[in-house]
Amino acid sequence: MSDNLPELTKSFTEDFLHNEEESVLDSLPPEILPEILVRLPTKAIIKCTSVCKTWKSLIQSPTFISDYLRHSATKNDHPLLLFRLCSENLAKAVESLRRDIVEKEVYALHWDDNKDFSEHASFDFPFHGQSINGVFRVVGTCNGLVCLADDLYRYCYNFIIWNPCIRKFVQLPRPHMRFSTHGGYDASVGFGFDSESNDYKVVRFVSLQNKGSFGKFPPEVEVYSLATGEWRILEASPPKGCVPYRDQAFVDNQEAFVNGALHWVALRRSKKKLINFVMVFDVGDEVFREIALPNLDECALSDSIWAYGNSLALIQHSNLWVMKEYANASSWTKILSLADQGVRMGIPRPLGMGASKSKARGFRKSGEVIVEMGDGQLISRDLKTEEIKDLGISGYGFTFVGSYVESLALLDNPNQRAKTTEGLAFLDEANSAITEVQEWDEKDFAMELFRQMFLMPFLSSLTQ
Amino acid sequence: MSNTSENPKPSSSSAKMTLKTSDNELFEVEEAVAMKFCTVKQYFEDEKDSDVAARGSTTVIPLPNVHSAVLATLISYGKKLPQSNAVADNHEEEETKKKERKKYEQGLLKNLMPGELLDLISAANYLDFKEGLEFFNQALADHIQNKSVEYVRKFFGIKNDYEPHEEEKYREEYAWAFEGVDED
Repeated sequence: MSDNLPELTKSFTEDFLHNEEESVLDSLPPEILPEILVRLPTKAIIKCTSVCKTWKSLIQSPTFISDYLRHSATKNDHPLLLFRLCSENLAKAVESLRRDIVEKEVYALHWDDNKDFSEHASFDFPFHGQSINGVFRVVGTCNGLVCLADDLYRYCYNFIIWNPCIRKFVQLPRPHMRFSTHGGYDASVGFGFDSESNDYKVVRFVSLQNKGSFGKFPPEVEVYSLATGEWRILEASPPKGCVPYRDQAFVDNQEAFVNGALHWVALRRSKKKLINFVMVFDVGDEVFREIALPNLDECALSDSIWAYGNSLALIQHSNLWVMKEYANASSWTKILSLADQGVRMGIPRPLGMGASKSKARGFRKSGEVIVEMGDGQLISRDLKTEEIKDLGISGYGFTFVGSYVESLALLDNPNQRAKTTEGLAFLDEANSAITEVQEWDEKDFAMELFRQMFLMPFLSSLTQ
Repeated sequence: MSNTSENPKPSSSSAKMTLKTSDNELFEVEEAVAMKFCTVKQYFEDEKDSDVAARGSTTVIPLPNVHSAVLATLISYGKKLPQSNAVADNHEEEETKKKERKKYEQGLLKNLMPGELLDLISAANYLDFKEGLEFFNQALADHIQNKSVEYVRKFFGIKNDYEPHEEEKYREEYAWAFEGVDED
């Protein structure tokens, strides 16, 4: 709704206030001010914190931040989608393990509306040039926060929680399980919210290579809590299985945060067979559960799991399944084959070779699936009518799409960088050179080669 | 000034209620509209229980905190809302009504001085008029969203209790939030 009010001139305000018998603020009941402020966009809210100290402490209170989120989330008539897009040049540079720091990753919010899919806002990326891998991997979004991990290819421990609307971020300290302490590993990361304690958590599932056979042992788990600011290794043991990290060459999506829990596709070796299942981690209780996947003869390493409304969607062998009733494995229903009509899904492509296969990137609020075509064009496809819409945006790899709500999360935190003495790799932007590296050394590089040349092809051979 | 409707609806079954403002004006309002003011609804239901008056017309409900000009606007807005006792419209009729309402809302805001918004919000809060609160709160938020901090302070009559150096530091840290502000 645009502002239709006539302009209030300075002299009018003076008259208006002069004629009031009591101060306007005195006559305004205290419960009214939050109701007005909660309807302001985030930029205006930040401005309002400098009106006076009372307003600042109101706005920064946990109650107001929660109310703001609730109001933002229920504005269902204008849902938003966050896109992270890479240009063709940037994507190519990243895939060939070459760092191209000229082009920036693009983060933009679009209206999720068929009449108007225009851009609502775009964000200046404050961490440009800081990724060892070239681009950050977007772990997920939650309540207006974006979780980034610099773990696309190389062992690196740069995790960031970022609220782009209010330009606040927290850089996480180094986790406990690293290459230099635990040897080689495969890790998956998830980002979620514990509504009971109002806390955001980052969860790492780490399958240590020195534990031997893939999928035979439970992974190690460590959890970062924003409230404590620390990583903690979890005592509770997850079910047996491995949650391999698979980059975008193999799988379209890593984790899904739904109903207060994180979901990953995990592998388990059982009687010489590898089977897939969904590993579930309740972010609040920090307990594990499992959900079975539709029974198939072969385990598909390219399975990807997605949040879909209040439940989950699965893409397996170009077929889209939806779990109609959350946590009820018998309610998995095949909805659509994405293989036909020229829209084919994530077939593992050999490293370093460009293959133009289209890939699923996410879902719209209405349930339509967003697909990145081989030429970069992003489209959405209705699951019932199969009607295709051109979204007018392009992504060339490493595309992230997620539903988004504007929030004030992190407003009460100062911007935090992990101390440099903890040795996170970062780049000197001016000179484009690595000025301080501790974790990334010769051993890491050799390990990385091993992963690229042996481990990943091994995994892909299992799909044949 | 009493309330007269331009196009009286042929709903002869709807009773009327009389509301009395702080400046002793009397407003005759259709029950369906008056019931959107939950404070009035509560008063009316309490009256019914205590068995004092017959329906509507003989009861005068006092609203000592609401001025007549403000009540007139709130009643006018209330009449434009979908009535809970109305017959359900088909999709087309609903769309037309929606458009009409949007047009009315825009017209209403055009003729409103920003200072009157606070009175309307106060009154809607007192009357517990949810749709009115939602609408006028949003209108006020839209109005101040791009205004300068000085404007907002003047508007709400707030004294700046920041030290100059505090405020300076803040504006530097959040410079981006202070960009693109309307002229006062």
